[in-house]
Amino acid sequence: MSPEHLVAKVFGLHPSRVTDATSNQDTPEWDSLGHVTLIMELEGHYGVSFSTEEALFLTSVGVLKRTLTERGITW
Amino acid sequence: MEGLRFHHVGLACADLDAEERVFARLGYTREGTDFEDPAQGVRGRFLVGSGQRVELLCELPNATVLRPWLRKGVKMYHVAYEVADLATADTAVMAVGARRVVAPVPAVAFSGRCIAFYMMPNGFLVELIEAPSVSAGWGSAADVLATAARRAFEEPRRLLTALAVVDPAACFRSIASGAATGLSREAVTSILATALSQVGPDMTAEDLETAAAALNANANAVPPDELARAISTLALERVPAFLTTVLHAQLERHATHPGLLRAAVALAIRAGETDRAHAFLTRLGLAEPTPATAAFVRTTRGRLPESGGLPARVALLSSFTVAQLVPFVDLMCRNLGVVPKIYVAPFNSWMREMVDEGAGLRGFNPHVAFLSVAIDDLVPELVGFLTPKELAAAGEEALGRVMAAVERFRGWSREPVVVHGFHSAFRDPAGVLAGRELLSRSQWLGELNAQLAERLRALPGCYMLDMVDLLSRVDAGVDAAKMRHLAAIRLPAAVLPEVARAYARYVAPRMGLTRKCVVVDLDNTLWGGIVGEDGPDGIRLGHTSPGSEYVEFQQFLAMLPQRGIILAVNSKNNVDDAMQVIQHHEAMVLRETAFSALRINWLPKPENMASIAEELGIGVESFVFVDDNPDERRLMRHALPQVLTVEMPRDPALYRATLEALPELQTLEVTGEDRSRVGQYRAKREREQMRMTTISLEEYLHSLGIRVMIAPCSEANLSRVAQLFQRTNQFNVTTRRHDAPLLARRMTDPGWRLYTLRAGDRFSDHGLVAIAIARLGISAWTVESFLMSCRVIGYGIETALLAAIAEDAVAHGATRLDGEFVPTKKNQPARDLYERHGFAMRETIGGVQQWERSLAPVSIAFPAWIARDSDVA
Repeated sequence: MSPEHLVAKVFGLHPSRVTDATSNQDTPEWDSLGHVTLIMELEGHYGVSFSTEEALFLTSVGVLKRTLTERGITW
Repeated sequence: MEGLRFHHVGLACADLDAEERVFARLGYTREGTDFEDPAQGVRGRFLVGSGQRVELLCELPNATVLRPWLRKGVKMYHVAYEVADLATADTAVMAVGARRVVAPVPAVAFSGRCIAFYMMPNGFLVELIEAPSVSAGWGSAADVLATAARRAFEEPRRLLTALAVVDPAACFRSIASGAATGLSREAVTSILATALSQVGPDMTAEDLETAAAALNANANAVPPDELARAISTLALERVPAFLTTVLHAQLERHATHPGLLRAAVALAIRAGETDRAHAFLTRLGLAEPTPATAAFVRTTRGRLPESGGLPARVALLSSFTVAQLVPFVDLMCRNLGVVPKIYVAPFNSWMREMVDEGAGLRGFNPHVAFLSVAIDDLVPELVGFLTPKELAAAGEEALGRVMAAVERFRGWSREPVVVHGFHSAFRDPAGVLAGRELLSRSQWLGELNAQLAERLRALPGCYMLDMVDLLSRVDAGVDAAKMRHLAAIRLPAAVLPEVARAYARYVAPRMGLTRKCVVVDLDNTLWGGIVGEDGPDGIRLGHTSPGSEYVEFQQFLAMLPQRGIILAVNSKNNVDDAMQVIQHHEAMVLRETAFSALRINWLPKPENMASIAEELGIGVESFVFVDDNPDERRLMRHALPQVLTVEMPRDPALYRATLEALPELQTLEVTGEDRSRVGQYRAKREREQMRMTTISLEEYLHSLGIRVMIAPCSEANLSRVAQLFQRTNQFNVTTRRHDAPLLARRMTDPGWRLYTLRAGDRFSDHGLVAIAIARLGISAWTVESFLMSCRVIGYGIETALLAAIAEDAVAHGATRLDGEFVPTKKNQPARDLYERHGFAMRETIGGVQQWERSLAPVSIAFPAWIARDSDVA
């Protein structure tokens, strides 16, 4: 499943609405609880682990994908 | 030059299998079988798939033709084209300055058609292949078409797969009209997966209708992932009703498939079916209990009108973040049929909320309150070293704070309050020396929890949820370190569903959902095997496996009376067989006196259930029904939805845990009256005779929609018929073990008639379940064999078959139907077959009872509640 699909699933959005620009600034569902849920979902799905500091900065789909790519994750 | 048609790319390989594995990852599959061409010194393999056809080649032993390519690591060996006439093409290629490397020669790979190789002036190696129509000398287009059709016929799988890629609608159309008949289920699944993955918004309504028809016709081969994806890509208003039907049929097969459930939720919302949407949301949450899905389920519910159900107010108070727990608590309450309002006290205000009369909790007035205070929050110093003295003092103070809050709460609310027992995220600072010199942290916690339990016990309606026990049962750790730092979350995500399930075990009894009576099946539920078939000594019940699982389960059931819950039996067995086990089997835990009511007979189970309710004087809504057989469970859910029919796991080793976790078997209080009720029911049973219920049996049978198809035995089902002859012991009048050769002879002998009966009802297809053999006489026909599967006893199916035989006999001028019966130890269920249908016993010859019945003026009536499908001769 792509990061876009995971974001869509966690926040209950239609996948077509999720782009690299989607962030916690323009998505009301992406609140602090939603963010924690998203991090858990990403970690579970891709088998990665983010430090708390990293997790705090993963606030847009673009950043999220770049970080996953840096970790050698493909989808 | 003209007339070149691309055929394949040839690649030089050292190892065909290794190459193929790589290409397989790219989506290529093997075409045909390997070939060896000694003339070229190669072994080859064709692959087709994502791009153009690829030919993998390796050298035969002692050949060196590929050596230059292999040595340089160059894969690309040649490109091959088909040409209509090799001689003409040869001339044309040579004219461009090519060098003929291999002159035209018949090739193994192409069934003897000629090939030739040319090195072009630019170093490009080209293979030319003679096209088949020329070398084979086929004249007419009709021949070519016939060959193509034959190939398609021989390889429908590949043809349909290709069609699925190119034109999914056409592929569905072909499958709907039967093109996939005869293919293996796995092949159909693969074709449907390909076709479904091509479904997109551009499909027309008719195409979608055809797709639904194709899926319907192959319901056992539909790939759930692809179906869910296909539906989700369509705009919802465009999903036709029949596709919804297909989806629901698939959900019967894949009841816990999250993708299908999501699609079902969306469609139900779209159709305005609120209750259905809520039900699917509950199933989705249970099927995929992750925080994301649970949150999605709760959010989606928030946008729907509320479903019907018992409203409950549940309060969560905590020293840490429990927001993620809320969707799970909601989910587990819904699963009980409860619609909860959940109050979450503001962050870390648990103490004020419980104590302060003006706080939100008081206004909310919960039915149940859950208090989770982490010892690590109460005693932050636990992160470092504490002396035993400091530990003791800190523990005492922590306990005092929690108890003060609980006592104040008790002062204004009589409702139950559940307090989490303490657990800590931190290990003992002494490491392996823990407990060696000083009191260990876990020992300290254990003693603290014991004190907590004791002080809660002194107050009414206060319960401790043992978190150490709960956490030890879930493979998730005791702490979510990262989430604790990030969001003050102290419970790992994987623990949340279990905590919510534990909460539901308090909510259920508080809301009056406790059931009074557990009604159990016997065969494969209380013991392994079927006592009527395996005998009392052949069943699995004892102290080693298989068998110990059932003992463990029975031990649990035997303890239920301590909670004021009684037991009863509802089973299809010969009463003598079953009582033999219950009273005399050495490993049986539950003897006759353990049960307040027993129904061991061949009546439909809902019928028995109603009669147990009447005998015990309680409503059927007090029952939990435990049966290993999914058909019986479906029937019970349909006939008596008020009964809680437990979805039992297939593995008996999990029976006990399934009932242990059941919220509806929890009680918050056991009174002396509850305990004595168990005895009262037993006494009542001894006073009352077992009797039939007042519900009309026939009315019930009508509601089942039973269909039968009675047909002569044929080659196609001969093996199944022979198998039933070998296996059937209970409902079998003569227990003659006819084998296939004898049956085959009688099938064609005009002196005999072999009947088979298939049965189904609105819930399931039972398949071929009854067989009879009649010997044809002039004035009388004789039933020589008559056997039926025990699963369908009690529906009048045997009557249907006897009536059909009688009808045929009358049509052939007979006026009497005779029947033979040979009593055995096991055929008790068939013993009264003839008597029930108006036969009288004439005599017994050599151990064979001879029964007879006149067919004039009245024959045997076909049961009014059974529909007879037309016979297929």
